[in-house]
Amino acid sequence: MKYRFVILFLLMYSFQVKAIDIKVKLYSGKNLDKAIVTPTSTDYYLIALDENLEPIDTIIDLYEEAQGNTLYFSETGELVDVNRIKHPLGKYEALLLVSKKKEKTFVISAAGKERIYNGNLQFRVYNGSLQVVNIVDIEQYVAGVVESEGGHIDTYEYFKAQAILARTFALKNWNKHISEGYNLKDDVSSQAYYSKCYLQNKDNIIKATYDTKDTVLVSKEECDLILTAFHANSGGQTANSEDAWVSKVSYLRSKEDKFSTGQPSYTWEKKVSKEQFLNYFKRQFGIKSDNKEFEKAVLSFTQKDRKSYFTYEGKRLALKNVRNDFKLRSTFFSVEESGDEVILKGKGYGHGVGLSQDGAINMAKQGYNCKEILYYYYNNVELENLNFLEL
Amino acid sequence: MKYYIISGEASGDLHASNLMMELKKLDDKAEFRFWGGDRMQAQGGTLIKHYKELAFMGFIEVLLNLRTILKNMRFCKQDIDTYKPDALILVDYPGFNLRIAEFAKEAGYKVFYYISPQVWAWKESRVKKMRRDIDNLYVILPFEKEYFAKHHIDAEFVGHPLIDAIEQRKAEQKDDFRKKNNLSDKPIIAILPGSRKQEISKMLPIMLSVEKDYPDYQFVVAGAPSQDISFYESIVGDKANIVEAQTYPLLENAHAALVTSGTATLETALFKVPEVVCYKGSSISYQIAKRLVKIKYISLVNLVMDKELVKELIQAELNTKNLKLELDKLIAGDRREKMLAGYEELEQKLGGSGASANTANSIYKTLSNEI
Repeated sequence: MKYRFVILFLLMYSFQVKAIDIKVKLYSGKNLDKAIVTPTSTDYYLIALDENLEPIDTIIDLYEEAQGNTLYFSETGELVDVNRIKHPLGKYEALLLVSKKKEKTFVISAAGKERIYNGNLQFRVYNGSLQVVNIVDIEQYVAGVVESEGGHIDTYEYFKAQAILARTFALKNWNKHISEGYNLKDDVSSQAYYSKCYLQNKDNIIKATYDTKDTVLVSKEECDLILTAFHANSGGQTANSEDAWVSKVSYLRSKEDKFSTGQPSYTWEKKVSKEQFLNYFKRQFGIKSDNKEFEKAVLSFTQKDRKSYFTYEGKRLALKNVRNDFKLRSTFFSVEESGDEVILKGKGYGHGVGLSQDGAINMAKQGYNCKEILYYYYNNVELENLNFLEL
Repeated sequence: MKYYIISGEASGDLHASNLMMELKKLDDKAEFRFWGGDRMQAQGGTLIKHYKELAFMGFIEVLLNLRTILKNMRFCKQDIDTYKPDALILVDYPGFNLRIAEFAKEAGYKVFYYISPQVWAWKESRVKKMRRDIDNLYVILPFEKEYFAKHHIDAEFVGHPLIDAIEQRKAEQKDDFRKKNNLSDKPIIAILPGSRKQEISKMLPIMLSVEKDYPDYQFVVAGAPSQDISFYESIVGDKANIVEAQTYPLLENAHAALVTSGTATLETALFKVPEVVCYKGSSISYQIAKRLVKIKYISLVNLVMDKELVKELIQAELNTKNLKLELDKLIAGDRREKMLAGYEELEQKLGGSGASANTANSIYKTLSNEI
């Protein structure tokens, strides 16, 4: 049929405009000097790139040669040195390992950790280190993030919700690291992406990712991609955005969250020396001498509902600072005296803003769908399918 | 009757304006409210948004302007509901228009779609929604009718609107193209290198590499409005002249053409200019794509004709030696004559002129029958 013959033309035309590949820096936070890569099949090209990352020439076609596919990349001054076993392949400004099919995988080993990914790999020396960037189809990336961020409990509608949040985050932060040559990092400063999706719940995660393909969460008021805040457990009440950070965000408002109550990370306890605890509060409030009234206020501090501050005589201390300084699971805690110690009895895990993962999993188990889950945790938002934009 | 028309690109503005002209001939009470451009504006009615405000090219630009796009979408729906048209006419621009079709159909409006999305090649999943949301679908390539019939959509083949647009151009009062652009009397070889930076950088130097072998001809490059003239100048040097946003006048005056694959191949054929189709993309993309599908032709000219009427030089085949070989055949001789004869057949296969009139007739008839 004639129309079939146009497909190649459109594919070629559309490769740059419609197939969305994301560039993710791997091993973020590590100064790499070498990496070892083994494609799991031979369907790869290794291509030399110039300083502008434009292709110069194909160095090897792993399709043609079946043996010895492990490649050794290392930083040598400003160039990347690449070798196969006993076979130097040269030094280049940059290199691109390209899979011929997007399903193909490779294993990469660097900084003492071995990982498996889909897609392509780009190497160059940047700021004195070997920069390794995974160029991967965005949906494969999303599935990897869902697994890395919370793929341990097999709940399909929850996976869908997480996939939508991961995609929304990626698109909202697309240009975050563009000046460094990639879109996002692979650690929690962006979103955790420690491998392709391949562990025990992979089938449902991948299905959830593709069933929500192109779908993102948008705020109705601002008509924009949302800030996809989520945490492990809200402790039964989510927090306002300004309680955890600075800005007030219309769709990140505190609300009662019955679905998190009683879930795995619902409660916690931490014992702290009473003296240390009281001295900390005194320092924060500039109180030098004994002040029984102040000590009583600290030692009897309780939260029935979430509070943002500990307040004394008109002065206030942000609980997010207390959480940070005492490394607490949440700000949602009350204080009990116990001899020389205080017991901090807390609820929830994380900053409490946006979606509670425990609550979302519970909702999914109770039969709520991903839309109901997302609309429960984010105010005045709607799902948008970006397919219509021909992205 | 009240018509609400949405087009989102320069070509849509052109084809929709011709459609408006034809509708006015049939319906002397026609009222228009539309998203489009200057040509539609010239036909009268109220312009809501100019396509220049809507034209976001490529993924990054779309992403950066997502807020504007979503707001436009919301505004459009509200505006349709306020205007309450007798007919919603969607012209090409499928990303936006298919979403509006979904809303409009559900809200009970009559939905006409002129210049169908090419779902047969890309995003076939949209067919189901098209069947649900579009009342009358007008297609412009002969094989599309058969395609949609297989998907239980009774599409109407109305002919290709480029034929109308080109005939209209031919009828216009013309400036002296050569004088206006300081061109000599030598016959012109037109170069249409595409509109995107990457393809221009890749193909234009190769297209120009044959220039020195044709001292009796002058090479003229068609500059796209989307690119700055200095970008062309940096590649062209003194090998050719460059004209900006004058593709049709250039083709009217051309003896032969070297054309990047795309709609321009069809336009060149309809201006009856013998051509060589050129394509050179990223070798990686091409090789991956080649593994996925079998290719016969990449130009619409050959696809519609179902034979190689125009020569396609793809990837490595696009080189100085081959270009010269093919261009020699186009300048004079049997190959040139055969191609010109084939162009007549092509025009017939494309339904001849009258796409806009055929579509207007069908829309008006449908609406009149329902009233």
